[in-house]
Amino acid sequence: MINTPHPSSLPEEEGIKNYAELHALSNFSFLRGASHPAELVDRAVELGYTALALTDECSVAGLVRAHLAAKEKNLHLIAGSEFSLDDGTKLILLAENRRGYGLLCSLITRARRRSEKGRYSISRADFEGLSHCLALWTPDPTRRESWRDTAQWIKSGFGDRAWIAVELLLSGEDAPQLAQLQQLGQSFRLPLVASGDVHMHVRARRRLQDTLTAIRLKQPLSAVRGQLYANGERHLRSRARLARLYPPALLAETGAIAARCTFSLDELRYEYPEEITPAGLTPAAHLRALTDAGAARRWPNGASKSVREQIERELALIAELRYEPYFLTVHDIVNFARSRGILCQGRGSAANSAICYCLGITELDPAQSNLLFERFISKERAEPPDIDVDFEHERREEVIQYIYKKYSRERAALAATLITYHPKSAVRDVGKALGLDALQVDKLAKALQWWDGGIAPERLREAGLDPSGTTAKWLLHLVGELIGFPRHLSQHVGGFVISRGPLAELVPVENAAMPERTVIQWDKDDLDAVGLLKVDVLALGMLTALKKALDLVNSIRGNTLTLSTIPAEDSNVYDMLQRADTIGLFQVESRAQMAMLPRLKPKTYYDLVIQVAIVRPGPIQGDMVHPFLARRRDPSLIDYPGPAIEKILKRTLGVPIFQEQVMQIAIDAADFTPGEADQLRRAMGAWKRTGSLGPFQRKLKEGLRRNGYSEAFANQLYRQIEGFGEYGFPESHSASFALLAYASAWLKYYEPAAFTCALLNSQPMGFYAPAQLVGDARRHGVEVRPVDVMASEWECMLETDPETKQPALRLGLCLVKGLSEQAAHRMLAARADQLFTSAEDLGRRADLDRRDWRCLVDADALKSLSGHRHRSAWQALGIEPPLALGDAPVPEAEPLLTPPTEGRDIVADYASVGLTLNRHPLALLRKRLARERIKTATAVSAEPNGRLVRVAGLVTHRQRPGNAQVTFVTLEDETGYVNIIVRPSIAEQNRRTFIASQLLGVTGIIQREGNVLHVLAGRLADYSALLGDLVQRSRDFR
Amino acid sequence: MPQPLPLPLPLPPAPANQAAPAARPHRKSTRCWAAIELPALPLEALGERADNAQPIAVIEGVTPRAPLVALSAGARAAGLYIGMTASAAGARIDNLSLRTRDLAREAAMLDRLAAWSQRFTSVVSPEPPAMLLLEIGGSFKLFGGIETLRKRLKAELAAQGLAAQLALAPTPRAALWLARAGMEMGDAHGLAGQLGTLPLATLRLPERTARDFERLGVRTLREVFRLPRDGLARRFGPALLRDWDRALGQLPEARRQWQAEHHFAAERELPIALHETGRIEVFVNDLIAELAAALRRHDAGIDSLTLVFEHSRLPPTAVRLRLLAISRDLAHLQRLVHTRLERLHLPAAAVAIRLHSGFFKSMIPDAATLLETRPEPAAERTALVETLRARLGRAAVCSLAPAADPRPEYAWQRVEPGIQASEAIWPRRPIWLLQKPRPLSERPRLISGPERIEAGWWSEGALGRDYYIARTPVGAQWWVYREHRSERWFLHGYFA
Repeated sequence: MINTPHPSSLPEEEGIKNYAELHALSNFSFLRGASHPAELVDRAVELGYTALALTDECSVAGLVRAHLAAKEKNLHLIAGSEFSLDDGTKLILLAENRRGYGLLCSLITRARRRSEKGRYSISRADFEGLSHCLALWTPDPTRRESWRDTAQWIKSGFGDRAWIAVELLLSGEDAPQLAQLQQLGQSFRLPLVASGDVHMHVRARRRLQDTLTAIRLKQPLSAVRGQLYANGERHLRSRARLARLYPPALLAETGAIAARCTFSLDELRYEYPEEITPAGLTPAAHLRALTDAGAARRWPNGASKSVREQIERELALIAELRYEPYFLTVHDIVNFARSRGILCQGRGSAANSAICYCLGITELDPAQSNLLFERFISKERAEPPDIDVDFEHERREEVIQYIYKKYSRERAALAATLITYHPKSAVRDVGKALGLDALQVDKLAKALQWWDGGIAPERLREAGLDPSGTTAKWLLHLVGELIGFPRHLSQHVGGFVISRGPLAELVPVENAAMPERTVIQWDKDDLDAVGLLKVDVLALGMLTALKKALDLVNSIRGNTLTLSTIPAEDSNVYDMLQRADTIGLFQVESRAQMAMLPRLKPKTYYDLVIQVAIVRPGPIQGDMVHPFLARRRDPSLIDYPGPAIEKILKRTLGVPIFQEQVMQIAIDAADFTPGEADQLRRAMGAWKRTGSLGPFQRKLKEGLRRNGYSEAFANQLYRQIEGFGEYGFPESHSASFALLAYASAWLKYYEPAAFTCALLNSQPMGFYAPAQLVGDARRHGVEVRPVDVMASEWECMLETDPETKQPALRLGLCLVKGLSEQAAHRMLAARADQLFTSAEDLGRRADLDRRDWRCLVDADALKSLSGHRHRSAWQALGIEPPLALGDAPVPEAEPLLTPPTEGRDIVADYASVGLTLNRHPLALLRKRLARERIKTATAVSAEPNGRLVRVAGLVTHRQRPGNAQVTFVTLEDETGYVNIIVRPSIAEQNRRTFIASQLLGVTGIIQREGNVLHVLAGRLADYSALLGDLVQRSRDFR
Repeated sequence: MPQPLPLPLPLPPAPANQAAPAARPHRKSTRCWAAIELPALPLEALGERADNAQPIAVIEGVTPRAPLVALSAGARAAGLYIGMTASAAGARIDNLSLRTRDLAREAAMLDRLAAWSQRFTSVVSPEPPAMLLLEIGGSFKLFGGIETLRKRLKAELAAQGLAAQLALAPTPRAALWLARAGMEMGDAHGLAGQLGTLPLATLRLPERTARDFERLGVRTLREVFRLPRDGLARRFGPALLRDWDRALGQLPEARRQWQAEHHFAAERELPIALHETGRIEVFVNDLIAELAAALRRHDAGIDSLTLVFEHSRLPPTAVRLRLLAISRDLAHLQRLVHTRLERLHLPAAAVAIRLHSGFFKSMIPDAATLLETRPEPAAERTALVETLRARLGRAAVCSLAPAADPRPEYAWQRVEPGIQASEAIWPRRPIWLLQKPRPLSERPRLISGPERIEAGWWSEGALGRDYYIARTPVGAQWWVYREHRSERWFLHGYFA
């Protein structure tokens, strides 16, 4: 029978009643599938399929997303996976029930754990004893010779749980293939079933599917022509079309198979590990005992009544929801860290509980900041408790290894992070697939670096593409489709999943890129959706720095200062914060924070909590900043739309700033149930992606109107919710961060040398480079001493003057670019025996190689032994490795070498150590700059509002916060910093100058608001050539 | 320390002396080296001129990090410099034309220049990648004095469209250094002083050594060689000092002399004018035998040869033969020539014959073919192809191979005879494919299909078709398709 399928318009005749697609790949079969799981689900529903099996290759990574979509659309979703065996056989497994799903996950885990990241290997033996799974075999028409053998194996291994899947894809050989498979099925008593080898939800994704193939094969489309599918039939086809292609029995069989597969992800139940509770104690009793002990430690004189009541309330709620094991797990991890002296701090809604304070998970005293506990865990919301614990970043690995050791690798693994295509990577990959050369692709990708929202025609033209041509058309089209596609699974920064039984029966575990790391196939959203608990073990650089700073302070002052004993609410510290003197501080050091501090003028801890949260795109976009500042200046402006709102917003002067407040308003003023409010919170995080805030908007506005709130208030609140969407910051996190921000500020004010030293030893971290940190410390009167082989240790350290007791900061050898740590330690060991008498002596005893010598010369670290850079270079280069002990140094004439100029020294300092203790480079250029009427940062700071000025400085930061339109640029000169605002039009006009200048000149107008000063750029000029004079004088012959 | 040699460099006469050049006697022993530096050779080797006002740059490799190695005047004017990365250069100007460096063409060009420069002197020594040294002391007289010679060199280089820096000096090393620094004339008496002012970059030291000198704050040759000799040798090795001594003539410098590549050329006058090629062949065979002997001596083979027949009145007739594989086999070469002569009709009787070969090539096969054990039939096939080509012309003989493309129009390709293409598996395909599909007025009777092909959207040849096998009323089998867009039927091929 010949049928002539119509490619474009299908007659809407009634197809077969029952069809379930049992072989469908989503884009979680990375670089194979060309549709999102939800797209497949939606399309299957549109086409009236009975069921859909998601069968990604050796993976269930897309299953949760498909599950959520299927639940919403009420589609029967089947969990499955496709495997290519090492003998070339392709098999699809479908889980019949929970047991089958567990076995499937274990099988995937086995296949993946024995291979490197992203790969798997599997052979016949692995399928032995695989009950509760159905097997679909798709015989390869090019390997007919192996059919009988494979059929034999499948029949004997799976018995009546095995089918031959017939995939008729208009290859031209469909009819003979069907006949052959029917014969094969008869000889081995294997039933036949129809399936579609689906790679996309609609035919239109064919081009993207081809492109993905080219990306996977790392060659342009033209070079992989033969490996592309010849047509676009691998999509979800209408039932009418299938009816014309397949014998009815094969289609009916799909329904029969689907009916056997009853497993749903909703059946997964998470069970806590057992060992967190000592034998004989219930988790509840253990948690109570620990809490009581903690309370006694926190409040030696007994806790207040309100605190005691709160503890009881919390314990009762935890008991009701049976969350004790979770708190005990976190406590156990924190306890381990404490025992090793690793600084850590929890944050998150549950972290800010009185119980967590008692357990030592946080330092947030509930007696002092009672306000914060509006939101803890609510029983209506089945939301798992959320505690993130930050650890010193340099020591977090110890904590991770502890978890692996305690629970074993079978029961603990990291959550995955799904790496998806963003515009730049999409342009790169699609560009290469379309055959653009590396340079064109580079240009296009660069064009996207600063300017988002499509590719401007002129950028296309620059890359040699005709904006109206075919290539450009496909490029834009395919990039648009590819953005958001998953690219690969990476490891989450620290989210651990710990289970009672083998984890691999819940979700497959695979290898991460890092050796000895394993990740599950789901990310944190997936875990949330199926109710699996994770503990976030995060790394925080500032904790490392604080720990080091506290240790330094304690060693020079003989104190025993800890994070919790740092004196609270010190007015000097708040004065410093109000001056925006915050370089190096936690959270409040960024450009935007510095601009906000003098306006918000934090005076108390809670002001700092607001300060941390308010400088975020959420509050800024939601237009909360200005009303808040105005009310702070003038309390008469504070008003509340109603008493319910007043209760919620009183602490933020009537302006919603935190995520928790928005949720509470939805509950108290718009009649949301707590469960709905939680859905709102989730939707807030995802609305940019899904655009599904609509139903909430209606409900919110109606609810507010019903309760007598004005339309204006409703609109404003909704806008704020939208703003939160991307960057909303919970109060529970802000509260913990504010503690650390305060601690860092206290240390900076009272112990600047120790603080800077600790920051330098914790690099890389934070917003500022060592040059700025050291410059700032020196401006605050800290004496900084250079790297010196005679005095420096590997790390930076403090040298305390025996008389004044004032510490000076000695830069460490770790700052010397390229110097190997082993060589440095050999040198330090030799120096500990006896101080070096000469470079010769140093070379003989420390056994440095030429590379190390060069590094030391470049850092000017030999100065005290050999004199200036040129002389020490001569000596260092003349040192030969000692051949035998007691070799006498070769006597030789000392040449006459002129010392380097200051400019060259400065350039060399920057190149090697990253900072200079000489004058600032701009000081050397000042005369030249003055001729151009360019003012210093100090001079500019005295100018009045609206004045036209010219400034120039080294560009230390270019920052474009969130979706702000303008870019903030910070210029540094010898007197300080000037902050520049560059509008998009100016940036675009001076694109190259703007992006490429190291030494940027700006002509612009002063904008002053109180103590905050910006220069609004009108014209940009690249003065890097002047700087180049310094550089090139030392490199003028290259 | 060796005694400094007297360095009688024939300096260009000062303008005042120009009237009496003959007053300066030239001794036969005068040594004078000319160094030619071709800073834009990578550009020129690709057929571009250095003074092009369009921004053109040559890059080493094709990655965005590839460094620029040569620039046109336009590119320089736009602020590009040697060594910056292609991606940085691309960011600076929009209409930059980037070319990829071709070292083989540069080498060939330098070789050509070496051959050209032999008209000035027999002592020519290339300094790859882009310099040439000529010993011209002995040629002054012939060319009418140093200044005339210098001008002529410059003029001829310019006439070839080359940007060149020319420098003369008593030693080859000094000439090289001066040319690199863009200085024209070595000062025999103050050579040390003159070289001393050159920047360190003149020495073209390895990056790391140059960085070390930078560390010492040393920037000119004077500053380098003022350092204690023993200390310098200990730190940087003896080669540096040796070069300095050579530049000053205090150490001799042996330079390898350039020689043209070998080829064979011979001619034979015929005893009488002969018109029939069959009778000329005897003499041709003699020449081929000489050629084969020469090839054996050089342990080489050739891949082309040209046979020229001289006529008494008419211009000569030339016949060029190209071999598929390098050969020096006498019988093979003779057979090849025989085949070609068979169908050659000379326009007139020949009075003399000339035979010249292409450049001698090394007979050692490359590693890839060394591992392949070629069966005997392959050699036979090669011989057959060569014979066919000798008869029909080169383009007339090729192989067909399947290509990996689902589109029938693109599913095959022409390849060089003997190349095996990978097999592509497509369903049944007709032997005869129409050059252009022919529209059919109605739907034919289909017996199997469809095979749906939708491919090539990324290129010019995008198509979407359903192919079928059809049977005509007389029983022939056609390969037909229906085009998706127009829904029209076409005949695309016949099954045998």
